[in-house]
Amino acid sequence: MTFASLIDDLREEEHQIVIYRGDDPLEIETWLAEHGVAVECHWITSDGPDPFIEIKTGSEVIGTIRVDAVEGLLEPPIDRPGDRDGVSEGYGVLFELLEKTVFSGMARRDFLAVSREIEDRAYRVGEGTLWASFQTLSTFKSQAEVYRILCTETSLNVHIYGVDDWSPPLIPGVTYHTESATRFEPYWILAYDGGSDRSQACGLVAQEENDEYTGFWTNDPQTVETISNRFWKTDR
Amino acid sequence: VTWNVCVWLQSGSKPSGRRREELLILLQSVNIYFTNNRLPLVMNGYREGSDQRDHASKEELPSRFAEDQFYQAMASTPRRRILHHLLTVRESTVEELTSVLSGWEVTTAETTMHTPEDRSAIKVRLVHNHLPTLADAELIDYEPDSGVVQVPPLNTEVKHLIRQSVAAESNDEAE
Repeated sequence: MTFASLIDDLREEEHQIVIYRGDDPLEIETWLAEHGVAVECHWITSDGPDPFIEIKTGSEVIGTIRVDAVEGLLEPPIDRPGDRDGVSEGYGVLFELLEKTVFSGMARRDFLAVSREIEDRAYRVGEGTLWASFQTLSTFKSQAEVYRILCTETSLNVHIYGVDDWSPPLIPGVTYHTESATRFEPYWILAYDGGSDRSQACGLVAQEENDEYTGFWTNDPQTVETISNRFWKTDR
Repeated sequence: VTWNVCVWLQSGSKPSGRRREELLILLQSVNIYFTNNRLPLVMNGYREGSDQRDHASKEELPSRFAEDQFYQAMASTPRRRILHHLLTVRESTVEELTSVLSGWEVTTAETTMHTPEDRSAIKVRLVHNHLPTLADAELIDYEPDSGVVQVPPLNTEVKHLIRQSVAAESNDEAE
């Protein structure tokens, strides 16, 4: 399975967001619509509950959240792994609920917050394997320090893929793959196997086009395995 | 001999000339006469305005205000919220009411999200407790088969009470 078909398959899955609100449209509503996520609006009286959001897969409601819980999408929190003080609990909720939702027209910053969430999970578990494709190694430049912390404070195995256009620093625990990286070039991919706890597995697949990204993140061990298998196959 | 006569009239308005005339005849029949054959103009105990209002609203008061079942139905936050929502939308479904109750909880409670398990717990309480209780009190029409919930025409005072009880919830939060 190619990364493009992974994205396409998920796009076909009926992931729906229902917003319950009064007369005034919400900022998040416009944001979601602009990023290719189907939004349905349900009117509730303004003297009733505050606006809230329901996330559905097919006809099943998988979660109900306050509007402020998804505001992390509008302003993604960017933190170093392990430094969680500034990140709302809401962002974790968002990560869980909107997994496998295909977002389009995403800025680099949007998915950077997602990749932080994945790296942070790897940091917390402290073991296992993390694969990351950075398109080019020079893109990894700004992240090198983050990965140094990640590897010195844990026993993670990290594999970095990127086209050789910069000499990255040697970090114990980090293996660079430049030869096989070309096949990942338009993609920004992250996969963490969860170490000995498969339920901690998570990943990100995003395709770049004209500085905009289309992709998804996932908590599903099966999908993460599909992603990481692509890395393994490339190495062999 | 001068008598102090105290006459209590139960009336929604100031006694008219005709009523005064009738009263005069009634009192004469028990041998009570007035100077110049006239009732004194100042009537004791008549409170202009307030009596009129009390009396008027008493007539409009719904009989269910005297029923225990009504208070039992109203003695639950989710049930008042259901009624409040129905007053606006008129007709709803079990699914929609579950969503509204669930959303109402996440917007007022400390938790940021409700899981599918939370949702099904709300739905179970809705189907097995809240809706039958409200239907028994004749505050809603509920068809379990179709899951359609409607609100019958309700007395203004009942609607007022429902709206006020929900409005008071947000006052609590503000305090």
